[in-house]
Amino acid sequence: MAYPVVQRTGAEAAYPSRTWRAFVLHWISTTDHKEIGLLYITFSFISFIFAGILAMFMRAELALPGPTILTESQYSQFFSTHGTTMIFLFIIPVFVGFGNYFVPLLIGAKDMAFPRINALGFWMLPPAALMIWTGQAAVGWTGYEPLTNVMYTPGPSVDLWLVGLIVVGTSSILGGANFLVTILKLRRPGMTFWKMPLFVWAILTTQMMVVMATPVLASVLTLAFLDRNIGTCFFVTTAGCGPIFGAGDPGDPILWQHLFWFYSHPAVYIMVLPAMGVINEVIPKMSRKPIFGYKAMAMALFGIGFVGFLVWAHHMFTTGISVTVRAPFMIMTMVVAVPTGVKIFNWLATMWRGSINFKTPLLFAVGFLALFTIGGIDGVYQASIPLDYQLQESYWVVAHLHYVLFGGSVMGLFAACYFWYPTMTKRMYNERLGQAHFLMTLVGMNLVFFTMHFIGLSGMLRRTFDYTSELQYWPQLAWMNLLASLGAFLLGIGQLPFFYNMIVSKWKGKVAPADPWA
Amino acid sequence: MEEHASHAASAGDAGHAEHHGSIWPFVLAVAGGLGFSGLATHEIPLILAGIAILVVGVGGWLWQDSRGVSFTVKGNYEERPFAGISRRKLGMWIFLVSEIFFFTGLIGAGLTLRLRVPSCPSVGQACWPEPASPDFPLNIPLTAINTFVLITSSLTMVEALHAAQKGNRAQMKAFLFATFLLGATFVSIQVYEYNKLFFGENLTPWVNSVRPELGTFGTAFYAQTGFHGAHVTGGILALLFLNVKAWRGKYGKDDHEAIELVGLYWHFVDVVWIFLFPIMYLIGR
Repeated sequence: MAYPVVQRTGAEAAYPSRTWRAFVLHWISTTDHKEIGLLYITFSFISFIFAGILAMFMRAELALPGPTILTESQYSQFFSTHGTTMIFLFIIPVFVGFGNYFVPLLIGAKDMAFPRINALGFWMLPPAALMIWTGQAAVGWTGYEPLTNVMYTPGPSVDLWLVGLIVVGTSSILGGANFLVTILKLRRPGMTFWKMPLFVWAILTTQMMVVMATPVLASVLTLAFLDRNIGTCFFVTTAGCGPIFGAGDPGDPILWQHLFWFYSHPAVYIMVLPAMGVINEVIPKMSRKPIFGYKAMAMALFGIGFVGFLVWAHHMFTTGISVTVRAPFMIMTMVVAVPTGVKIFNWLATMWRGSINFKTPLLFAVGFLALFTIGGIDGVYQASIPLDYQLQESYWVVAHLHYVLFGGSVMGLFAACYFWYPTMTKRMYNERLGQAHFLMTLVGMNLVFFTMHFIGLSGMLRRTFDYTSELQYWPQLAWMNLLASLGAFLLGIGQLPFFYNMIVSKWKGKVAPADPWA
Repeated sequence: MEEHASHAASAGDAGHAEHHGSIWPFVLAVAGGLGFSGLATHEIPLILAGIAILVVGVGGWLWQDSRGVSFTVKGNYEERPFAGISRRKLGMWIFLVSEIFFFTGLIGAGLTLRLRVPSCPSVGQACWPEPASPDFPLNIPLTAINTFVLITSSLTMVEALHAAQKGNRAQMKAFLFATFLLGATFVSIQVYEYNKLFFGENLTPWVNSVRPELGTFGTAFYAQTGFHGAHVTGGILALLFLNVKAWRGKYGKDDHEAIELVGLYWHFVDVVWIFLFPIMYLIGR
C-alpha cells in the first residue's frame, strides 16, 4: 500500500497569523485529527522522557549495593511513577496519537467521527499527568490494597493517583468510542472490513478492548477512592472496617486485584496490538511483498483480544485463589501464544524471499519480532502455576514485562516513528542516526532486561531499594546489577539520537520523495 | 474566506473546507483537572472552580452547536453493516457498552462483599440483613413503587419519541415533561429513603458503632444505588435540556435523534435498576 505524502493544507494553511498567542490559541482549539494526533504523540514523548529519567535514577541507585543516591521512599515513588507514566501516559496515548493521525488517512475519512470529543480526549491527559506526577504515590503502578488504603498511605498522593487515572480512563473511553464509530462508519466507499489495512484492524481491536476494559478500572479506582475518602469498606480489612465483633474481614483486598487485572491484563494487549498493527504495515512495505495471510492476521488480532479478557487471574496465582480457578487461567494464558504465534510466523513468511529494504523502520520491526518473541515465551513459561510461585514478585517478572512492553510496544512505536516520519513531515529522517539509535536501543535493552532474568532467578525481589543483605547468599547480584545499570544508561543515551533526529530533521532533513520506501 | 475555500477544494481529499476549531474541549478539560484535583486534595474552592468552568464549557459547547457550527464529517462512506444506524447512535451504544462494564465492576464488588459475611442474625460476626426478616433496614414497598415510577418513565420516554416521529409535537412535549417528572420523582424518593436510612436506621456507608452488625451492607448499598442515582440525575439533566429545547420549538418529525439518544441512555439506566432492585432489596441468601 502506498503512503501518500500528505499535503498540509486546510487547517494548517489557515493559521490566523504567526504570533505566539495565535499559535497557542490554534493548538488548544484544534479539532483536526492530524493535529490532535501530533499533540498526543508530543505529550506522550514528554511522558516517556520523564519516566525514562526516573528509570535512570532507579538503575543508578541499584548499580551498587547499599543506599547511594535515593532514599527508600524516593525509590518507591520513582518506580511507581515510572510504571504508571510509561503505561498510562506514554504507550497507550502514543498509539492513540498514531491512530488519530493515520486511521482516517488509511480508511479515507476526512476526520474522526466526533472531532470535538477527540480534542476533549486529548486535553484530559495533561491535567491527569499533573495530578499523577505531583502526587508521586508510592504504591506501584498496581496500587495493591491494602497498601493503597488510607491507613498505610495517608495523604493526598494516592488520591491524586486514583483520580488522575480515572481521568485518563475517561479520556481512553471517549477516544475508544470515537475510533470505533470512525472505523465502523467512515470507511471510503467499497472498503469492506476485509479490505481494511491491518493497522486499522489493530486499532479496531484495541479500541474495542479499551471500551470494555477501561470502565472496570474506573469502577475499581472509584471504589478505592470511596474507601479512602468516605470510609466505605470494599478493600479494607483494618481500622474502621476492622474485624467486626472479632471475626471475619468485611472488605476484600483480593477484590481489588480481580477488578484491577480485569482491566490491566487487557491493557497489555491495548499496548501491544497497535504495535503489531504498525509491524503489519512496515514489514510488507519494506519487504516489497504483500502481507502473508491477511485474514489470518486480522483474526489473530481479534483472537488475542478475546482471549486477553480471560487470563487476568494469572497475575494472582499466589494470592490463595483455588486451584480450580487457577488452572483454566493457566490454560487460557498459554492459549494466547497460538494467535501470537500465527502472527510471528506470518511476518516471517512475509519477509521470506522478499526484496528487503533494510532501512531503520525495518530494523525496529525485526527487533520487535525477536524481542517480543522472547517476552512472549517468557509469558508462556511464567503461566505455569508452579513456576509462577517461584517467579512471582522477582526481577524475572520485570524482565518479562519489559520485553513485552519495551521489546514489543516501544520497538513497534519506533518503527512507526521512522516509517511514517516522511508522511507526517514531508522530510526524511537521518538514516545513520536512526541506525545508531537502533543499535544502542537493542544492545542497551538486552543488557538491562536480559540480565534481569538472571537477577530474578537468583532470588532478588522486584520493587526493592537495596540488595546488600542478599549479597551473602547471592554474591553474583553485585555484578549483575551493575551490568543491568550500565545497559540502562546505554539505553537512555541511545534515545538522544532519536529525539535529535525527529526534531532536527523536520527542518534539516531531505525532502521526502513521493514513495520514501520504493 | 473565498480563497481559503478554493484552496481546500483544490486539495481534494485532504480538504478541510468545513474545518472548525473549538476551544470548549480544552475548557472542559481544565474544568475536569481543577475539579478532580480538588476532589483528591479536599480543596473545596478548586472543586467549585471546576464546576463553574464546567458549566461555562458545556454552555460554550452547546452554544457552538446552537449557532449551527457543524463538526460533522461530510462525505460518502462505506457504512455496511452499520448503514442503518447513525454515527451518534452508534457512539451512544458504544458508550452504553462501557457503562455496562462499569456497573458490572460495581455490582460484582457489591456481591463479593455480600458473600463474605453470613446472613443475619449471626452471633459475634457482622452479617447481611435478610429481606424476609422484620428488621430489614430497607423499605421494600416504597422502593417497589419507586421502581414502578422509573419503569413508567421508560414508557413515557418511548411515547415521547413515538410522538415526535409522528410529528405530534404537543404530545411529544407532554411525554417529555412526564418523563422528566417521573425521573425527578424517582430521585426524590431515593433521597427521602437515604435520609431515613442514614439517620433513622443508622445505615451508613462505613461501619458504625451504633449498628456494627450491619457491617458492609451500607457500603454495598450506597455505592451501587448511589452510582445509579447519579446516572439517573445525569439523565434528568439531559431531559431538562430536551424539555427546554422542545418548548422553544425544537424536535419534531424530522428532528428527533436527540430524543432517541437520551432515550437509549434512559432505558439503560432503567435496566440497571431492574438488576439492582432485586440484588439489594429482594433476594435473600
